[in-house]
Amino acid sequence: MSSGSIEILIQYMNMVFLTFSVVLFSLFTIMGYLSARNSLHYRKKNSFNDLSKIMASPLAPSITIIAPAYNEGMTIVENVRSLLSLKYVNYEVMVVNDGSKDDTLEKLIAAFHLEKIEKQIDPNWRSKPIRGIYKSTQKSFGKLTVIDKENGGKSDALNTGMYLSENRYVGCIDVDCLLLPDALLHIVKSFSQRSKKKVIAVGGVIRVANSCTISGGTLEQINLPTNWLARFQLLEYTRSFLLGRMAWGRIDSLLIISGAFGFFDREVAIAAGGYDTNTVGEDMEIVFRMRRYMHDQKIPYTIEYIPDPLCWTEVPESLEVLVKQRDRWSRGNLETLKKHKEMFFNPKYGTLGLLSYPYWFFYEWLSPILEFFGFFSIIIFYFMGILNWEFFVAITAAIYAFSIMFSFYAILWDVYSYNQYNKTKDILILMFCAIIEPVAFHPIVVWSAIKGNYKKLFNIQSGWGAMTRKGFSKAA
Amino acid sequence: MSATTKKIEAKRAELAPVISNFLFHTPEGPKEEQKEYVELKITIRDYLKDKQFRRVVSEVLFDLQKDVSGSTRERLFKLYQELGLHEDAYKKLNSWQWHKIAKGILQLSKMNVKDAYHIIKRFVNDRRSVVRKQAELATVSLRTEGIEYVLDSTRFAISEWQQLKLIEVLGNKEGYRPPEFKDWLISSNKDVVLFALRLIKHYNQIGAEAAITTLVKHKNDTIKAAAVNCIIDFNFHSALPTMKRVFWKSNNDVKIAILNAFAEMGTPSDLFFLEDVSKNEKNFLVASKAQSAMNRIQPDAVLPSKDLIDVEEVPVVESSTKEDTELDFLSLLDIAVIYEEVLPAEQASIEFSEVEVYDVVTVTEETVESYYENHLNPEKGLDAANAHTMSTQEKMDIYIHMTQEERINLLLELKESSKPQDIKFLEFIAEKEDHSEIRYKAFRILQGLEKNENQHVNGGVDTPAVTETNETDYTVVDYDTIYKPEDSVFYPLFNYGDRTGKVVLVKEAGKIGTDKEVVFLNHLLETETDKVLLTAVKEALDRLQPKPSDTGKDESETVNLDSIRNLEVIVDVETLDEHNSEEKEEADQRLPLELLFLNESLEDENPNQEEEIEQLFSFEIAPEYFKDDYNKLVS
Amino acid sequence: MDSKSLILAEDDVMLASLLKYRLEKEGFSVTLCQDGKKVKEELEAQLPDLIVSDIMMPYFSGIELTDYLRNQLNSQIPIILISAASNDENVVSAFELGANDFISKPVSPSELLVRVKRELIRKR
Repeated sequence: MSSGSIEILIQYMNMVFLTFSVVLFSLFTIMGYLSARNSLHYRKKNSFNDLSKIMASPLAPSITIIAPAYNEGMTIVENVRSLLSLKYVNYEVMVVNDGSKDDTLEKLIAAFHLEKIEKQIDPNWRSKPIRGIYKSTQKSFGKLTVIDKENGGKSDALNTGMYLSENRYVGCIDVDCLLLPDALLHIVKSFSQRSKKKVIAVGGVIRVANSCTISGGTLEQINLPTNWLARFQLLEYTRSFLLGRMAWGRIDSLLIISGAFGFFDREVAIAAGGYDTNTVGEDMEIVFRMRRYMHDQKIPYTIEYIPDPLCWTEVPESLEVLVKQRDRWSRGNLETLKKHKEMFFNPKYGTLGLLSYPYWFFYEWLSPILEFFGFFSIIIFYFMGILNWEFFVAITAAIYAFSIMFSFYAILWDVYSYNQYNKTKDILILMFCAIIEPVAFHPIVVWSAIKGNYKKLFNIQSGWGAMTRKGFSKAA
Repeated sequence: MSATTKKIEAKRAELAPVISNFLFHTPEGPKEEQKEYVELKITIRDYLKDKQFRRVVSEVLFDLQKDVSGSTRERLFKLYQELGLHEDAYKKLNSWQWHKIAKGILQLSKMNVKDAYHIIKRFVNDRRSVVRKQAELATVSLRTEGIEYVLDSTRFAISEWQQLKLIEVLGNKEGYRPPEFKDWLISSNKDVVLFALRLIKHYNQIGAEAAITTLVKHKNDTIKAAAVNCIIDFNFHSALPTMKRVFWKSNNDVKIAILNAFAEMGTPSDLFFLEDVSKNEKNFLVASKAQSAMNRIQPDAVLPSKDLIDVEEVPVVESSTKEDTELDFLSLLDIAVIYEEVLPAEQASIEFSEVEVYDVVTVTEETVESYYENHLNPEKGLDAANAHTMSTQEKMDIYIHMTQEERINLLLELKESSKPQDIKFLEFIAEKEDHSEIRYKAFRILQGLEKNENQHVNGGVDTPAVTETNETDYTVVDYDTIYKPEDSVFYPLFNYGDRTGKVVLVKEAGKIGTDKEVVFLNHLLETETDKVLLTAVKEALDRLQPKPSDTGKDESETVNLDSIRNLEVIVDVETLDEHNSEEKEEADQRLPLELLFLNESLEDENPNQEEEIEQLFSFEIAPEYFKDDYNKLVS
Repeated sequence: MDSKSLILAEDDVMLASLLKYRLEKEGFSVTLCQDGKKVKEELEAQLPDLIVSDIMMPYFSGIELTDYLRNQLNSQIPIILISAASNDENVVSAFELGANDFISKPVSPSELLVRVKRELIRKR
């Protein structure tokens, strides 16, 4: 290779990085603006809303919370108890025991006095066989239904729940999530307050519950996690949920609803085909599919997003578990993007195809890969002695500064709007996290993404990374 | 909990006893208390000059208002105005910020400031949705006539949540007497109509039957669906014919709602309509809804509902790939037409399983059509009535969508000019029409026609007997010598039914019977005296026995439809039979589902019969049977 | 006359203090509990003459409280439940478990007072 062509190559690569960064800057600036507008609007609108009354109305729309459980014996009873104490009239808690190998089912039966009931099941249904349906003999647990089925994975469990539910809306949550008592009211309101568009799904913020004081299924005190890994994730979540999704929500192009806290119009979800059992990114995939379904049906629809802190969960505190989780996320991402590749720059899908999908493609999928290879090419260039130092330093500094700014913005916005961490020390810790995150935490995320992509590309079998829960009851 | 909420909580706790004192003060109490009260009053007046304090007090009162009722609540309202807090709320209405206006409206209405009604109602058509929604709620809440005002004047959409809230506000009114909401069913605002429907439902205003039925014909599908749902709630049977008429012009939601209505209120006379839907509807969900509606009307008409666990254990029945057995059975009958020769049934059913379902239907239609064209004396010519120029299938399709009046007129015309090619069509009417008068008319015309036909072919023999007029390999023998009436599966059942049950049985025998049933029916013809029953028996016999016109021509590629039908059934019925041979046991164990229609007439069954009945209904469909179709649909 | 002791379990501060004020004015001695857990602690210490409890409470619902009182403590202390959710299901299960009376939100303090007095008379 002549030095001339190398020169061209380098120039070309520089251009790619530059464009990427510029687009990134503008995109995130717009995002910041949109999310701020959306949040302000949301806050004003909800400042005088009397939620508590509708819940007593028998006319209130019915809703089922589906909580798939796999080997959750340690915490299941406490978690279900918490789910049963939500403030709403017309709801059902459906725990789907996905063939647990531990005593999950036995514990449930004992704690809630469950008894097998007879129910006719359409043989048409394609999920893994259902072993039994249980209801409590006690009226006080009348809202609880437990489904015992053979193991088929999270998607399969959720599909079964969706199918067996007879309510208008279904919520798919992780059983270990802590929902605030008002959660369902917010959800149902979001579903039914629109008159021009059909709301097909409602998503919400996931908050980090590590180190918080939880007692008897309620959040007593919010604390900043003591674990550094959890702190970084908290920062990440704040950025993504408070700014990212809020901004996408503003332009009605939200493409992901967290699997830990997502609510759907049951009929639409089933009509669109339910959860895909062949992907590890089922929570993202179902939103893609439901959106496409509605687009194809040409029914005006929307997806609502609630920024209020309604759902709290524990994030992994060990590096190993975190890498597994992120690896799975990136595989799910890739699978979903691949499955719906026709949407890429497809004007038929509006902003979804022209903006959302490309964003996910470039910045959620391609970006880590680009970063990874960029990093290595820089090392190679350095040893080859052809590294353009000025350009490298300039662009790195710019990206670094920008990412810190964006994180700061997210932190301050959180303080302003929800004020969850009100100790000055906590805010300072978070800001410190933001400063060191690009070097301390971000590489882990990139590495996991590369790992996931590699696995997917070379077809290496790997399922869900198991996460060992410490359990909320223990924290009490 | 954050610091601000804590501060507010603290302030509230501080204020709580003061407010309690105000609210529960009685002039009769001891002197000490009176003094305390007066002092408190003076202090609070002083404090109220502070804007911040006023805001907190008004918030506290506002919150308390939600939790108390009765006289305490009234006192609370009085206190609010006494302290002059409503003035602040009024001021908010003049703000340029929408959320302030909305807040003002909310406070005024919650604190029951009646005088605010006229000011607030001006915001009912405000452009800003939050202001508008609050104004609607306040208008309805403050005065009894508020709801009328909102329904009359709103130009905007009303969301479901808002409707619920408005209904809730109405529900909180003591001794409220709602107006007749049907008056708003003619509103030009779609959401007002929907809301009115909901209100009618909520207040159980059954007087709106006619108006709601008319709404089924509304051009907006959402309204249509809501009207249908309302009809289901109120059980308005009179709306069923209207729903049948609009069915094919509706979207899937409405179709499903209509089918739900039939599932709730339908009678066996609606089964044909549902069958038609399940056959001709392209959408899987709608078609399967039709089938489940059929099941609701006549349990076990289509799908046996079995516990999944049991089904899983059942060996795979390799019979067909279709989602619906009823449909499947019927199409098996139809497919048979295209076979060049009569296949042994076991073999045939295996062959059928490989045929693509929808292809089959198309082939069948064509085949049936050409069949009729070939066999029904086309040389007699077609007269002016366009009915004769169409295929039976086309006629049926048009007929379904006709009104009752049109149907009667058509039959009057046909009475004058009916031709043998109309027989099938007339049979269809005589059998499926809901309206008894029309059914009877069709039947009379048929009688006339068939009489002519029989005379023409059989040389005046008008007893419908089996005749050897063709060269098919279907050997006709005198069954009376082979079988006894007791041999028919219908025989034991017949003795336990009441009159209607018997009629149903006879009809079923006519539909699916074999030669054994012919003997059985002939036996009935001799022994029964009930006229209605006899008519049914005759009809059934007509159906069962190959008509001369059907067997008239002997083109080799066509096969007698009825004989195929019979053959198929023979096999299945014999599978049932306990004395059947080894060979037959190997045959497809599935029963023709038509047999299951019998269920209805078996309700008051003799215990001795239970075993047989159980056998009748003990068939299953393997889950794999549906799986493929479902997966195909999903992917 | 020694005053009757009462446990009032209600998580809303304002309403709780209002009801407490009203009941105390009538000569009852009222112990206020903000959640079900505190009620449980209180019950372990000493049994009151009557319990007024909100159904929807953090940790321990009024219905569970009734269950606990009747089946675990085997006590027949009158219980009056308060709830915003005046749906049949809740009422029925409350009564089935042995609640004595039920009053729905919004609460009329004077009505509550009448009911409290009636239950105390009945108890005698």
